[in-house]
Amino acid sequence: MGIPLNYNLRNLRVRLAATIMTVLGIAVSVAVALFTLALLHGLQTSFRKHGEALNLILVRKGSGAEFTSSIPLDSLGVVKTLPGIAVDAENRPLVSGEVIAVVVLSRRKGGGETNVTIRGMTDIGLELRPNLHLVAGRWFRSGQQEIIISRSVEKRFVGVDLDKKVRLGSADWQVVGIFDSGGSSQESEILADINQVATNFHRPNYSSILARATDEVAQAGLIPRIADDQRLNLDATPEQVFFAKQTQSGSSIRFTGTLTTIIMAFGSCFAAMNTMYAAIIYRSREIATLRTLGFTRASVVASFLLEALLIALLGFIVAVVAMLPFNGFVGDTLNPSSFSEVVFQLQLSRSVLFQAFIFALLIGFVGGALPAWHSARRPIADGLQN
Amino acid sequence: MQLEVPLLEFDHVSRFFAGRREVRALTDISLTVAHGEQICISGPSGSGKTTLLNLAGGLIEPSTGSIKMAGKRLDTLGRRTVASLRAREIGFIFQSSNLIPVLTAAENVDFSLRLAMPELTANERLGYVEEALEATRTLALKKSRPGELSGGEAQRIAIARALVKRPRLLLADEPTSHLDDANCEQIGSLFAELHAHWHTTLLIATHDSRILRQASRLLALNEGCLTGWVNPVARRSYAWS
Repeated sequence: MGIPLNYNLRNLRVRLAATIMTVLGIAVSVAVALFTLALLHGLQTSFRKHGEALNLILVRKGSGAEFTSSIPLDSLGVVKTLPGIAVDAENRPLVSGEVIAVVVLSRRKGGGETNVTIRGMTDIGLELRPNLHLVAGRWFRSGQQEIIISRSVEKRFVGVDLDKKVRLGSADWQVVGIFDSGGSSQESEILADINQVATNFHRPNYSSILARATDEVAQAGLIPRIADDQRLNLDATPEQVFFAKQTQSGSSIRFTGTLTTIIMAFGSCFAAMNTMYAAIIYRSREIATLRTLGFTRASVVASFLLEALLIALLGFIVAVVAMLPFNGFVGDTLNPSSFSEVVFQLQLSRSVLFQAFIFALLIGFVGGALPAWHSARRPIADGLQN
Repeated sequence: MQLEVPLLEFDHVSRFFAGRREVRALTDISLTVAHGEQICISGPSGSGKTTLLNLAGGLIEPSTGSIKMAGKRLDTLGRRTVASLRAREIGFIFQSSNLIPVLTAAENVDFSLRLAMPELTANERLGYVEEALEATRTLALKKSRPGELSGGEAQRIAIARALVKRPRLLLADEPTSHLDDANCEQIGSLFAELHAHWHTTLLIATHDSRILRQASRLLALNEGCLTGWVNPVARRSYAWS
């Protein structure tokens, strides 16, 4: 039989100051871990949501990104005729030549300017993105210098307001609509008519081509076919995979966050260990008494480990409560593939909370295991004489 | 006629403590304790009384020789079995009460009982706990924490904790050494009552004449050796041979 939990709970309460200090130490580490995990999760979600399963994105061979890709206009016609390309209700091939450029906008908060991607496309481009929904205004019209933006762009940048004109590049553009794409990285972009973007930003070629395959088999067949087609000189990648790869923009966040978390976790482990060692020295006679009463070494180890895990659990709860106000916080980072800003949300999702929970327990376990083991190893007679 | 197996047997037991200088705490002790005996051990400080009790309780192992409890050699039992034996069969009383400070008096007694008789329900345990506290005249203190008790009260609760599981063997290591005269008197008469009522075998290391008087046998220890024994009824001393 193990030592009743009540014993540990009372001991935590008796040594309240030491318990609180250790809980706070662990909470800080877990909060840093939560922040890093939530940030990466938000970034990954943002890119993962971008893209349809059957869509393929085509860029020039070796470019790897739309920003550095340049595709001759006649390639679009070739792609439209490839077998396996889906068509819409009007029997038009679902293939969209697109042009991207970067515009500079002023931030509303914190000042300064940043790059934002403007994407030129036709109505087929919109058709290829069924997750795009208009929430206010209307879609841009072909041949007009009109743009649609997301709520996050509207909120974050100066002068980009619905029904107002904004200067992008060398021209004024009318903001005619607000769209939503379910939190994907698409919401970091401004969308407009392809010809207007190409003309105003001097883009004689397409940056990329977006195409829809009829099914998964056709999609799998199209990838090597496009790669092998000497006329095209293009690489085709499933759209979701293409954008998922761009989460590398979070790699510096991941590295810094992980490093900070590890350093702080070490500190927290030592704090927990210190508390548990202090508890053991303070309670050495008590531990010997417990063993004299008949509690086994294993139950003493389990009891002290449990106590350390309880402290870690409290640390986790404090960290979650402290981080809750940041849930949904909108952040941004530079996407190195487009040299423009990507907006994402800090998300304390279930998986993030679970990972942080495991992290907290790990701190408790590492901090508690050694003191617990030492407490149980000490000869009973020595403990009683203490 | 079947001979009753002694409760405790020491067979040429020695115990050394290694260190810079080896300490011989006990040397070649042979001893038999029958069921229901009340044995007192006396001797000067460092004579090996505590070591003898620790050996009897399985808290330490002999360096040479063997110890049997109810016919079973302790050194052949695993660590878990010895722990279980301590939980069920052996009660300990220390110089100071060694009560768990974060638990109330009743919880301290219950703590020991939970381990000894896990099959009991909470209500049944409460009955046992109250009976043990009643026997040591501490029932009124059941909700008190050790810090709120006097030395004598705490020691009586420690006795209740040792007795609650109805152990076959009760080991007490100078239980009155930290108490004043009045409390020593109370503890002395408590041992007499408990021995009469519970028929527990007692092995008590003490210098207290009030407890020594009640012993069915007195053992004298000096420098780790049994130097003699006294039959208090006959009031005759015998040299150990």
